[in-house]
Amino acid sequence: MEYSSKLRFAVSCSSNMNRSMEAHGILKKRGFNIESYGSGNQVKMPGPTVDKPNCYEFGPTTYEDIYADLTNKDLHLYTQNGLLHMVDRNRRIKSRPQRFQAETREFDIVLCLEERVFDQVVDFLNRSVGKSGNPVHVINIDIEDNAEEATFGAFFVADLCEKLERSEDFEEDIDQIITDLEENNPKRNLLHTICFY
Amino acid sequence: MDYIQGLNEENETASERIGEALKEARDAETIEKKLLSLSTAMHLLIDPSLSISILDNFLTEMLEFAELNDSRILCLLVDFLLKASAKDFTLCNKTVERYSFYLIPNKSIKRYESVIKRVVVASTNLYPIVLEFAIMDKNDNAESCWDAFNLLKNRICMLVSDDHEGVRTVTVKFLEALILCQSPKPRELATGSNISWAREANTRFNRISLSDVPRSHRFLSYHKTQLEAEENFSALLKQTTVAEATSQNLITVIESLCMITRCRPQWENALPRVFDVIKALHSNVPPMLSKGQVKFLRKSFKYNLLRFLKLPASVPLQQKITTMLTNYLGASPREVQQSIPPELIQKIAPPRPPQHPAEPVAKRPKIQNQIFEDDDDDDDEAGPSTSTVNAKDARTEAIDMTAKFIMECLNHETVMNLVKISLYTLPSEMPAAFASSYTPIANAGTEPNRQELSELMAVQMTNKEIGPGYEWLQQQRKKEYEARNKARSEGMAIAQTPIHEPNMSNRVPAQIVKQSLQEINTLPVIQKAKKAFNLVEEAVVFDDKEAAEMFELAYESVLQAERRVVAGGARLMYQKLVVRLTTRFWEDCTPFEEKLIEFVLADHKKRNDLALLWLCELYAQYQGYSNCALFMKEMIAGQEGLTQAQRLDRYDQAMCKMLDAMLERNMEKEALFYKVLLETPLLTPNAIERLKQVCLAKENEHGMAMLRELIMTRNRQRPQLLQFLFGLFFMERPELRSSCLEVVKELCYLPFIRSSLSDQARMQIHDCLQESPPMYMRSSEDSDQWTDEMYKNSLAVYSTLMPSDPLLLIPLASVYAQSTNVFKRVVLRSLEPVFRQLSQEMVISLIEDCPYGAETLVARLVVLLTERITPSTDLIQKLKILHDERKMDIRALLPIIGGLEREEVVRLIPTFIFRAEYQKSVNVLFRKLYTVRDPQTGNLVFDPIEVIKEYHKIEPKNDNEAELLVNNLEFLFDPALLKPDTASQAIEAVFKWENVPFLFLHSLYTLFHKFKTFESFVANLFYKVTEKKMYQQSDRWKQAFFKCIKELKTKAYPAVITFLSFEEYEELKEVLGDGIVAEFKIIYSTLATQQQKNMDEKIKEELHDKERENRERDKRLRREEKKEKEREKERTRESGKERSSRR
Repeated sequence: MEYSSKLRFAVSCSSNMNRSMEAHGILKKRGFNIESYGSGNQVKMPGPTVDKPNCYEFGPTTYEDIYADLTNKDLHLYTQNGLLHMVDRNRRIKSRPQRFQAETREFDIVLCLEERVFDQVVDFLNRSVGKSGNPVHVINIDIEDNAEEATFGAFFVADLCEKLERSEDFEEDIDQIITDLEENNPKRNLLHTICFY
Repeated sequence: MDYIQGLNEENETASERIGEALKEARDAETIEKKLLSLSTAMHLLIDPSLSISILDNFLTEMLEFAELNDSRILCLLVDFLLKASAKDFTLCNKTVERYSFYLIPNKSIKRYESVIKRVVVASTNLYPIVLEFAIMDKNDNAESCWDAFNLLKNRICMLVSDDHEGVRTVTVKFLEALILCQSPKPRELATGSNISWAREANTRFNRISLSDVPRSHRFLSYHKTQLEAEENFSALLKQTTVAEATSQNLITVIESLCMITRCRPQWENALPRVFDVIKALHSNVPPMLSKGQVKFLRKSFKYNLLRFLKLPASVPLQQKITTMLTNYLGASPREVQQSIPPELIQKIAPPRPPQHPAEPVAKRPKIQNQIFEDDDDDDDEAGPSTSTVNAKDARTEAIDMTAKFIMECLNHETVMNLVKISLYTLPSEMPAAFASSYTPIANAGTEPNRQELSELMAVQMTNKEIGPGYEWLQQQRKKEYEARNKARSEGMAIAQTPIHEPNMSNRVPAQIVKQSLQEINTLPVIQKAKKAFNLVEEAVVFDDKEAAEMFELAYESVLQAERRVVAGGARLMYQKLVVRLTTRFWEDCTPFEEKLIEFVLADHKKRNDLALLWLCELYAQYQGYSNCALFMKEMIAGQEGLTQAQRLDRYDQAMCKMLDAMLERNMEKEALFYKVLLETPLLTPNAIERLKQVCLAKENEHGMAMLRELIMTRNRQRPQLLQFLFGLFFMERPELRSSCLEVVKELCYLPFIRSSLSDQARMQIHDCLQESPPMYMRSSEDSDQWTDEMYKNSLAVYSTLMPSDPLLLIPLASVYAQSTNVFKRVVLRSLEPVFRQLSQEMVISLIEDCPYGAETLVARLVVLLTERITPSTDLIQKLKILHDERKMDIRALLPIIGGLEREEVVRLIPTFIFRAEYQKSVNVLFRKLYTVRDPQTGNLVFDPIEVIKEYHKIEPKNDNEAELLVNNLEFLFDPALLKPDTASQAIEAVFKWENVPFLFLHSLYTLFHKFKTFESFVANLFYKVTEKKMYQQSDRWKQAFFKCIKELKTKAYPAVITFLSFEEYEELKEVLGDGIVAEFKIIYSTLATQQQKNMDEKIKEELHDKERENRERDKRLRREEKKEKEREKERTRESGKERSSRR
């Protein structure tokens, strides 16, 4: 895997639940080498009210556990607002939510779906002691955290990944690719930097 | 034992698994499968629990997969070598060699830039490992590894300007690692104390640093290492000024600079310098960046500056950083306050309101004191800096100079004009950075605002190469360029400075460009309409002058391209090209030779090889090995070309030109001068003359050392060089002669040189047989006559070599035999100390092979030899044979007289006595006879009594011989050699002979003079001789008798007047003179009455003196009268006393 000819992609949102998993699903179907993560301290999901979210820990919690917990709490509410469907989709993609800061594998490109997530990822990478010294490109694409925007955003992410994958040398072309996308999508708040493991 | 067996079993199992994985990799059909198997093998091999020996066993097998020429496999191998080196330091050498090889671009492999990038990344990780290996393991392996890595480092530093984006990016990270590893660690981090800002300096390159390198390390130079880091740090700062920099490179450079600043805040003023760079970049964002890129750049500035506030070193800059963050980068005051640690906040007092003017005055001294204290701390933490780096970067200083200039020019009128101009020149599309800038209205026109505006404009003007600061910067840059070249020539790895500086003046509005293009498009049409192009007419043929000029320019260009060629790894090809251009294209290559010499001497330490290659090329042409283009041209034209002698002369002149150029510059002590003499194929006589100048200098130690080396290494020319060395002995300089002797003594210890020295020495003394001295022996041109000094100098080397080389004695004897008397005298005089050191065996060998005419030399050698040791029987026999065969002077037998038979000695004594030329040797003869002892028994070989007896048996044939016999008695009776008892016994024995020789009387008075205690003994013997009338035997007896009387005087007189007849008495008076009678009378009066009765009457009458009796009587009477007078005086005195008592 480490020496695969494909680019190694990672996509991250805050809780590894909605936006990142949507993108993960679409990219996986299209054959990309993709993983997804969350950069927040906890997995947060809407609760009965706005000020009472459902929170879970990264690591030991699986999507099965979340699904069971939501079912036990209020099957009707969570079915109606689509959370159970979302969690059900997630458990078919992978077993559990993952935190980006806890990951030891290396990637070529990390896609962040919110500027706050971008800041967290960049801060983490810059503060790490470092092991291999390999470069990693961190790109920010703002996507609103709702189901519809997640779907649209996922296609945008897929489009970007497609261009990068087809590139003969993505390091040479990544600046131009991002600049072109920025001109066509000014609201996406495209940011790009390079960090090192 | 069980544990060891278990460990062995585990290793065997791992070996089997590794073997299987490698087999699978070889058998796999696709690269992906091969990668999978190789990855498995790699993880097994680098497992910490696996022994290093297994890793060594499989290393070569793993590396064989590189032959597949797949970039991914090569990347895997690069990673494998890195991990293997981390496990076993000794593999670093192989790793570095492989990395250097993989850095060479290989177009046959697809996506090979990924391999290069991987090598750079791996080298970044390998650097602390190699440095640690070099520090810990001070053996040759570590040193060679470090040297190889330095070459690799040099090559990687050049990649900072590579065409590939990714390669440039990882190269910047390599520079970061280099700078961190080669700079001293701050004290807080070095001690490992728990400090708050250590988290900000958390990097894997903190593992090792310059602080871990001992000052006295064998091959790691502390100074050079730090200087290299400083230069690379400056180069990295300059990367931010490249106008064409991409977003990736710019961000990478910024992040690296900030990392270095957090780890080494005080080193080289890193924090202030990097802050200035950030400020300059913020004021002058590269125009090609997109909005997103600009936004992130600002985010990066904000992020890093907030982290800077956590460093204690940022305290002096806190206000500036805070202003930058809040006014320009959008940070809130709360964010800033949260970033400053509490202990750092307390060091700064907040500004007071203006309504309390007294309080700020009271606070200022405290703040200044804090700053002063911080400076002290900073000095301690920064560590020593080996270079005189300015407080600010040169570019920053240039901007400050221009900003100051602008500040002075800013006024209302100028600002109004600037605003008007800006309105006319607004771009159609605003740059992305414009929206990010914001100036509150309240701040407009204030002093800080004007200052900031001045700085902003100064940055832009400097980028456009305008302003007084930029002029100053150009001068500084020129000096720095020279310094960098000097540092790079010393072997330091320094990244290249960006070639293209910001040059905004070249950019023009698009409309103007379009117009220019339109104008250009019209010109060709007009030209085509006028005239058709004709190659033949347009081509111009160079004349000879132009062609020569172009050749010279090309030659100069080739010379100046040295640095770039060497960086490209083609030094040897470059040297060959230069040499061929210099030697093969012109009949007269003198101008190019002179240029080459100047070029070599300009940097002679680096261009030794070039000079030697040039001389070797000329030698090859001389020998005919090298094809000369000019020669071929002449052959075609039917000319003969240069003859071999002419080509040799050309080689000679080139060599001498090089040497002369160095002598003019006093470079005779440099390595190049030494190499030209030592390593060129042939050393010509003229070149040796140049060496002579160095040897004749006041400080000639270096010259003599070179001469010694030449003699040792140039086997074919050794005779010539030795003759040159020997020729220096004839210079009229004692110190030079001493130096030459020292060299000869040193060379004597070398067996392969000693034979050459001996040969040359033999030739030199043979030259002494010539009628006039050779040229090399003459100190001046006018001296054409042999002198003692010349002979002496020619023997100087011989005297040094002879003690250790017995074979030199025979040749010396040969020359001695044929030479003049003057030379012989010089030999015997100057070589006497050497002769004293010769062994008996050497002398015997010379006696056996003595050349005719060298007998006197042999005699001298034997004399000197026997003065310190007893001659052997062999020596005695061989010398006797030589003496008999050559009829040598009998004085040659003196040293071996102890070995001769008694009869032979008896025969020798008369010969020494009666030959006039041997008179000076009589003393030696008797000394030998009296002192020589038997080496076995230790007893005297000859009895002195017998010697004296034999001497008295010699019968003189004439008066001359008789006189010689008498004269040599002085040596016969030498008190220093003879004991008194021995002498007395001998002389008594002679007296008892029936026929006592007349010599006996001469011996008597000789003994009388020599031995003071012999007075009565001699007188007694003389009395007996007189009594027996022995003097009547012959005239010689009578003469001896009279002589003896004369010598003994009063001791002989009683016997004479008692026993001589009156006739004999009268004869004696005639011989001794009339004055003797008075002395006889005195003696007569002392004789006893009995003795007087035996005297002859006439003698008695003559000696009896009446007048004397009368005189004695008168004396007696006078004495009586005196006594009476004295008695009367006494009586008078007594009577006087009585009268006085009465009165």
